[in-house]
Amino acid sequence: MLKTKKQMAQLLAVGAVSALILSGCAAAEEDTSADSGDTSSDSSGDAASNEEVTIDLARFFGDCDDTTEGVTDVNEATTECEVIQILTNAFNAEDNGYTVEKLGGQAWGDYYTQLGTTFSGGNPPDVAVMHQHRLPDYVGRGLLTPVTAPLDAIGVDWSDYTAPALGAATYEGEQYGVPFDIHGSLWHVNVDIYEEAGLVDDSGEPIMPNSPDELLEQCQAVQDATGKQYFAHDWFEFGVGARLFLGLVWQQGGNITEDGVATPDSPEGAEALSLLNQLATDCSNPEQGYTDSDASFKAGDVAVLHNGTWIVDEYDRVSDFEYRALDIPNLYGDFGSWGDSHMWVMPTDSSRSPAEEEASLAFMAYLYENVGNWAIGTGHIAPRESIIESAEYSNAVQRDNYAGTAAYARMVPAVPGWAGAWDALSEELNATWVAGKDQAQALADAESRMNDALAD
Amino acid sequence: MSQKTIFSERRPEVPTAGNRLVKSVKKDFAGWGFIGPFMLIYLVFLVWPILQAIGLGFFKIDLLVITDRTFIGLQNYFRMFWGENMEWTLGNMWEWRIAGLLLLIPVFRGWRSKTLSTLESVVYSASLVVIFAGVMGLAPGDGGRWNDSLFWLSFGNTVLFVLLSTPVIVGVGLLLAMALNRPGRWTGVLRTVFFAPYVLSVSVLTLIWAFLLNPQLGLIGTFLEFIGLEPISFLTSPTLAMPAIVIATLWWTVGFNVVLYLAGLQDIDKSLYEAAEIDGASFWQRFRDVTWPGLRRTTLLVMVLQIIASFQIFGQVFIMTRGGPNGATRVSIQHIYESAFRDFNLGYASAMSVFLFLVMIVFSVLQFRFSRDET
Repeated sequence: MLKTKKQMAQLLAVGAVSALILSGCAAAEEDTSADSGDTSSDSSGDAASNEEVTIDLARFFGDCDDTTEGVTDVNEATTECEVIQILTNAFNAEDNGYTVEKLGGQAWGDYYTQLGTTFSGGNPPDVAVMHQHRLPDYVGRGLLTPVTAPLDAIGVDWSDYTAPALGAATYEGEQYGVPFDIHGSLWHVNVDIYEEAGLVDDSGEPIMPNSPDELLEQCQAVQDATGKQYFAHDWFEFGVGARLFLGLVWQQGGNITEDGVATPDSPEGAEALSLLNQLATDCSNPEQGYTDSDASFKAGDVAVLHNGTWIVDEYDRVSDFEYRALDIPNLYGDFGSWGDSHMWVMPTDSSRSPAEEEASLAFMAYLYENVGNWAIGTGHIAPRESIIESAEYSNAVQRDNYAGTAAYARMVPAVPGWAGAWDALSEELNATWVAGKDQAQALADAESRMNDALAD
Repeated sequence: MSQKTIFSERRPEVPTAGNRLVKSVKKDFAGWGFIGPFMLIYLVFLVWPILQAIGLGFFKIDLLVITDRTFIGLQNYFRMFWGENMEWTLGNMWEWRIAGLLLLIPVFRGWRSKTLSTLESVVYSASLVVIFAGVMGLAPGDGGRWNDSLFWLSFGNTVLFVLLSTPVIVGVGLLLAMALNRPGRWTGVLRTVFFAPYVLSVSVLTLIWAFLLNPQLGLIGTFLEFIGLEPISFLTSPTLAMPAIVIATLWWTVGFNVVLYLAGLQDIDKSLYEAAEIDGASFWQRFRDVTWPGLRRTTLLVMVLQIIASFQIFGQVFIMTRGGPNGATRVSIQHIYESAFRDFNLGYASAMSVFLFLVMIVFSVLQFRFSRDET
């Protein structure tokens, strides 16, 4: 079929290019391993001082290269992403011989999927961010390196950490992560609406309800006086309803797990779910997801928004009404609200060179030092005593208003398989207010599905 | 088919002599050269993973520690298909089972018209009876439950999506193609317009539609409000969420079917239309007797591709509803994805993929078999 030699040559070229493309990955991988081999041998030799050691960082919090390129002053940051990216830039700008490269494409939704595949692919990152509830899945499989001693040696003072933060990063007596924050749920309040409804004290501060009845009375008062929506949160997208449910169960002295077994189907669970459904029907709009609830709060249409600590600074900046970030109201006696922790971990990787390990630990220690910048720049609760007590921290906007959360927020259970169990709980609870599923049935289904996930 | 003329006619000559072989390879070089790169990628990235998935289905294997695997035989399949206190009842899913048994009619007709051999007819009939009259009567009895009820929920939703989306996306594709199959400046523009969404990634598609469907901020809600109706929250309604996903998918992928149908329409001999027109055939008669038969092969291709694509529904649902509300849009691939990547259970996820793969194969083969014999 080939009429000319030229055609034959073209065909061969096509074949050769395809072969090159196919072998490209393998070749690239070989190069990398060769490089890292060199680095490790160099690190003991003279060339080490000139070689920049590069480590991989895996994190969520989003991409914000556009606004942070070349920026090294963390005070310029306005979002979570900008804070962590500017901190990374500043670390890279230091003359320490280390470069941190962020792995690409890790959005919120698929972060753990991608992290998981780096382990199965045998090429985990050097430093990764992780929630405390995910820690058991990885530590239990021997995938994370303990960092107690090595970080102790380069100046991390573990005793400065608050008990919940330290507990979050501890698994069977060993530290596996550097806690970066405690984050929790807050009551974001539009004080103007509260004032209009006569729900403020003499000093003009919003009065918080102390029982379910008081909560529903406030709802009625706001609706009567202003015609506005009393309560909003994300009712079906990201498990926000389950967070409040958990807090309300804790407030009644109940718990969501006992000895690793899920127990949402309890009297406390039934009470919490019933209250949430009352809120959904009488005081809120269960068709609102994260974006809608956020938008209507910002627009001044809602008295209370239940959302996290991470958005305090943003609301404080953008709201054109009097804004307060307050602790979740104590409705049943015990203080309780959902909490979790972001921490930095070092995945175990036998191919990591000593120089890379040193760089990774140096970066983790650097993040430990910048815990305050993270907390002050975002609204998250600082996990270290010295920072919580610092003037700079307590002077930051709103922080005094939710000091209770800092002190008492409880962590979601850290047990293997929690991610699946939490999704199951969240889906079943959502089904009651979004689709009218029978509440008792939803709790029973949640319990069996959660335990399937935990047993897996 | 052109491949046929390249290969099959020459094949018999090959074994006769060594120099013939060399000659043949030289002659077929272009053919192999063209399909070679594709075949290589196809074997490495499709056939090999499928074989691996079939193998992994017999193991308990952890995504995070993939070297750690235990052979567990058919346990993954047992988990999928079985439950506690399983009972057979006549009334279980009877609507679906009767609908399934009605498929015996085309099989019988195929046998009567001799388009299906007796053996084939017996095999099809027996399979239909075993599946719909027999197996589908099984369900957990009182106090029992499926080992994995989400597997069945998501499979049911997937089948529902296939049944809803396939006729809609194929039908609308055909209508648009017929409307756009004429010369003119605007048809060119419109063809591009209808095809354009197909190039979008699933995240862009979902961003657009989640926004459009948003009852408070979206275009549709605002429009409904404008004409005095209550905005509808499609994605939180257990009955409307799936149709909303079908419509988003229609908008996204119909362009591909339009292109295939346009190509098919242009293959139909114009003289047939002229003859029909001279005979005074109406539009409907021309469609029924010229267009539709002329598109038979295209329709077969479009249907098979659409069924396969619809079975693989995932991205739209996962991003727009995460399977909610109350599991109404949870589909098979979401369950497979979560089992593998959230729960790290790669073996079970593989077993479920194999099941889905087999279902798609059965649908495709039947589609081919019955369409081929239609005339």
